[in-house]
Amino acid sequence: MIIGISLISFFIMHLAPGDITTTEASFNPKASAESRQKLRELYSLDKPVIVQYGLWMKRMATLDFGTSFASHQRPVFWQTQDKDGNVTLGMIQEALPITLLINVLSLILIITIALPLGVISALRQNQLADRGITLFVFIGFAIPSFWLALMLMYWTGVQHTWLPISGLESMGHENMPWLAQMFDTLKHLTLPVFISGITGLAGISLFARNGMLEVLHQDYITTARAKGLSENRVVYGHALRNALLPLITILGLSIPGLIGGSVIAESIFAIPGMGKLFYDAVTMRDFPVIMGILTIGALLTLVGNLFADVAYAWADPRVRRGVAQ
Amino acid sequence: MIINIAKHKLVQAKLAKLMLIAFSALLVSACGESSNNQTSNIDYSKSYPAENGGTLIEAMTADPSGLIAMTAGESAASAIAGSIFNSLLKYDKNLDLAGELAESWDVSNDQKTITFHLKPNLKWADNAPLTSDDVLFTWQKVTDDNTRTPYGSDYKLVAKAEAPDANTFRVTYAAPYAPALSTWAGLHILPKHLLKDQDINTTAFARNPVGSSYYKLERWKNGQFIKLTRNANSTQGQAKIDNLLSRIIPDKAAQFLELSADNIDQMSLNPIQYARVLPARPVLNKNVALYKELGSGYTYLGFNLKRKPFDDVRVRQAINYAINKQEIIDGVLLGLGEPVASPYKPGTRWSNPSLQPYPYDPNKAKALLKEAGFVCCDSENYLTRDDKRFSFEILTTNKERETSAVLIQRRLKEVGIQVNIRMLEWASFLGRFIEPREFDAIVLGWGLGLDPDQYSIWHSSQQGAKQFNFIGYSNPKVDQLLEAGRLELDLDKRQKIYHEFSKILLEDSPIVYLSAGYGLTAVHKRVQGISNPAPPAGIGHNTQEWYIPNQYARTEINAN
Amino acid sequence: MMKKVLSNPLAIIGFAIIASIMLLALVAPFIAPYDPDAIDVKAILLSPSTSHIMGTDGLGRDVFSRMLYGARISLMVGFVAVGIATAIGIVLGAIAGFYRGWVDTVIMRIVDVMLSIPSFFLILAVIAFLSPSIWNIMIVIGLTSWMGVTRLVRAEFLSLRNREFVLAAQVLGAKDARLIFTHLLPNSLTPIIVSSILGIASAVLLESGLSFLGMGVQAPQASWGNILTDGKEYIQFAWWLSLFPGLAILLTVLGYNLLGDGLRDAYNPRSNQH
Repeated sequence: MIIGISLISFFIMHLAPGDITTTEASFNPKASAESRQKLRELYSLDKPVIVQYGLWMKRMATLDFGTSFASHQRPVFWQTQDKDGNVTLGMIQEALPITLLINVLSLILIITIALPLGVISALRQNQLADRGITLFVFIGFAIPSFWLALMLMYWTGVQHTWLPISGLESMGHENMPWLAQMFDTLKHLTLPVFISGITGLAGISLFARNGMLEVLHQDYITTARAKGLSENRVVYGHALRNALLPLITILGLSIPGLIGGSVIAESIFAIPGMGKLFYDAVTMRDFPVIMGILTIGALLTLVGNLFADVAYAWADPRVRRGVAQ
Repeated sequence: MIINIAKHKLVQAKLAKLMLIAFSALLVSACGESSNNQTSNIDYSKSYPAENGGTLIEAMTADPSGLIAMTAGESAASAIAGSIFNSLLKYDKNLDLAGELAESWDVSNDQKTITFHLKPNLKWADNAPLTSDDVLFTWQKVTDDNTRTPYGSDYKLVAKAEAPDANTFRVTYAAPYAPALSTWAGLHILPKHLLKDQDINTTAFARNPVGSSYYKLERWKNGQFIKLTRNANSTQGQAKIDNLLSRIIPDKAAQFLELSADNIDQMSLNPIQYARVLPARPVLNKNVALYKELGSGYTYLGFNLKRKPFDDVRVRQAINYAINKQEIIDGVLLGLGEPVASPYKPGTRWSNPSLQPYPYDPNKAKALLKEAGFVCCDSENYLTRDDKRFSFEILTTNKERETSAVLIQRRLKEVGIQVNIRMLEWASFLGRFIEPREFDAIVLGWGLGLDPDQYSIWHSSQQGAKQFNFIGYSNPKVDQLLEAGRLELDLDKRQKIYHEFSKILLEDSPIVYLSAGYGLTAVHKRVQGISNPAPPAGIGHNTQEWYIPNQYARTEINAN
Repeated sequence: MMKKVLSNPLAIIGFAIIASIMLLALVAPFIAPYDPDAIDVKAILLSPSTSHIMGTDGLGRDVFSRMLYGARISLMVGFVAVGIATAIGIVLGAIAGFYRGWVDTVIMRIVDVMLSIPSFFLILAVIAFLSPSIWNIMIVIGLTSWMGVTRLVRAEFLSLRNREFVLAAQVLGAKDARLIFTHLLPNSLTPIIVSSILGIASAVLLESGLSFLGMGVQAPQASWGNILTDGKEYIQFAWWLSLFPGLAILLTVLGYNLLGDGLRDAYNPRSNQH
């Protein structure tokens, strides 16, 4: 699997005409051809492709992606320490927590809104509420997110100074007491989280709706009803739990989408997360960073799937018992 | 059942309508001018005497890759590094060379040796003395083969560099090299005592630099902001503004919103924002001052001179006459640019004031084309020569240039030339077309150099695959002038050489100068002391004299 | 099933939206009042009026005409990209689901690998490296979004494979190809169509996202994505530049989703019981 990922990402990079020495910024008569050639040698870009792939595999095995081409001082993945004790933080090390934080917050937002919507939809199938909810979540999905983002930035940041427009911290953040700092960060995250949340509503709420519908027609629900349990007990006690099981898998699978989908939001809100990092690396032909992000992203997905499987097993008595046998 | 559906539909339609209304309400409210902006009440039009203090917040689109300019290389880095480091020399506001760390310099009679005399008692921000040893060390680093810098070649021409005493730095060239002085205005001097045991390519110093100029780095939060604070040991005197905060906001639309909300003081604008958007926003317009300065580059249409019919000077001139440059300036830059007739900044010493751009004259163009053997016309009204239609392809790389190409296309169609346009991503443009010379014509830009030497762009020897004379220009007279210009250190004689060079270049018309756009900047009016109109070096030449009167300063949260 | 769809007002609305937008795209050359690429430096950023009903852009081009032509490009990106994805998905899914065994394992491994790489990153990287032409965009979106269809087709095949009518046909000596094309594929067509319709919606959105990053369909060719991106810097000033393309994208994506969802609901046997 890892080999597959490495092959794909390596193949992509060698589609690329040009490298770091041929970006527009370095097309400067002051930068002579010889100097640029020298740079290629220092980056091993002059070696045959197969040798470069070997070098790359070695790095991947140790999760040491070296330092960025575009920013020679920064390690791609994790911090390094020089002999004087100066620590340089890794690029992914800094970007990943930010992206994860936003995604976790927006997942929480999505689930708290989408689940009730989905359940209501299912209970009122084909009635007005169902149609209204469907329309609403689809509009959320269909709005070009950067357009909505700019509108909201203008409305909440310029017209009314309710929320900050971009960035992660206000000026003077470092001098605030920690509670104020947290509040400040949360204020900065409100819009990005909202934007990524609204686009994600549709998937989860429809999933919950269809899952509920399916479960509601199962025999054991009929049995539960026949036993004379109250409708609430039936719906929330029996049906919902079972309808939600597959959701765990869906959440596990959605990790790459969440990481990948962050490019636009991070660019517009000036948030230095994984998406922004990747986009910059692509435009700069910063191969180590591109490779590092693709690999780490894939690893995260694997971990996410693993978690989902474990969680599923834990939540689903059938699987649990199956494991025990 | 049927009734039910109809009812559903009705409700549905109502719901959709409601949502549309709610949505447009949001839109309309979002488009209106703000009324309850607290900052709009302050009158920023008074001017106050200069005083120290305050923070200037500016927006940048990208995080610098490091603050050692020789290894970082991009403009984001050099802008910030320029506030931290000094060079031996600098360009003053009229773009003439002046001393920065150097108090004075002498050129030997054979023009091969330059001796720099450093100002006395220079100090680094960490209090260590700054001496000629540091300068020597910097030269050694930039010429070291292990240093990942694309800028080493100029400095490798130095045959011998020495630091005879703490205040003297001397370089000897193998042959006179006139651009030498200007190269010393572009080399940030680095502290030897902090870097001597470090690998300059990977040192943490690049992210935590110690310099000698007005500011020192206080905090760099990757991808978020860089905060500089005044350096008490500055070698150039004290700046007035306490802190420079550069916020990294990649999206220009978001930057503009931040400016509207008064969260940043300074950003660069595009022509439409400058000419249309700001004037239409009264509150913002009242609080923000607009500056335009000579841009640092020009856009041109370049021909592949190795291809027919561009080997014929009459054809090139004809195309030059057929293009309406003012239309391009008006259309692409909304009038915020100038026509140029030489590859130098208008108004500076190197720009030949007697040269005028080719006027728009389609009749003359037609006459020249006829002279070159083109006849009118084929079935689609295009010129032909030897039964072949005059048709070529323009390659270009960005939207603004592409728009220029579209305007060119239309004008050339009027004189009977068919133009196709292809837009390419930079790396493939370079690798697949420029390097193998697989192009007819290009719309591209060059910088308007401060040193007049443009040997690498125009000399006939510079036509190798990765070299910069990719249009294949070759003129023995120009070669000779370019060679002479490199050897001549006397400014007046040198000026003459380059005026002559520009004149020949214009006549030869290997490229058509299209336009030189202005650099457009918005700065909040709380910042005062900015030269307006901008001198040739731009408004940034005296940022150390900018100040923010206490009455206008933002409220800041300070450490207790 | 048709009856079921017809009783869903949202699906009908979706269908109506898509039909009208397709119609507009088809007749664009006949109703566009201006040449969509004609630059007019004297008519820059005019607000909507009777002569330019959607105003003009930063180069004086008529936004309404560009919207009409942009509809063709945006819809084409959606169709072709999804066409490619669906074709790959059907072929791989059919092979995996029909032959099972190691072929299935290999194909599903590839699917897993592709699914684990953030696809937007992949698209971004490939397009940046290959230069963003409209064909590259369609192909790359297609090549990175076939995994869902593959899984779908495979699952359908696996469940249909042992049904009586398939086994009967096999006993009667039908060849593999015949089995696949006349028995299995037609019976799994509905979910494929539903997923394609939803896929088109995503592709249209994806193109606008790529445009925002400067990697969408390139000017002067108009797409809704790049008209919208052009307008974003003047969102407070020239509202018409972002409102119309924004609404167009919104409505189109909404339309496809409503239709796709309606179809899914209709063919889904579970919801029929209600």
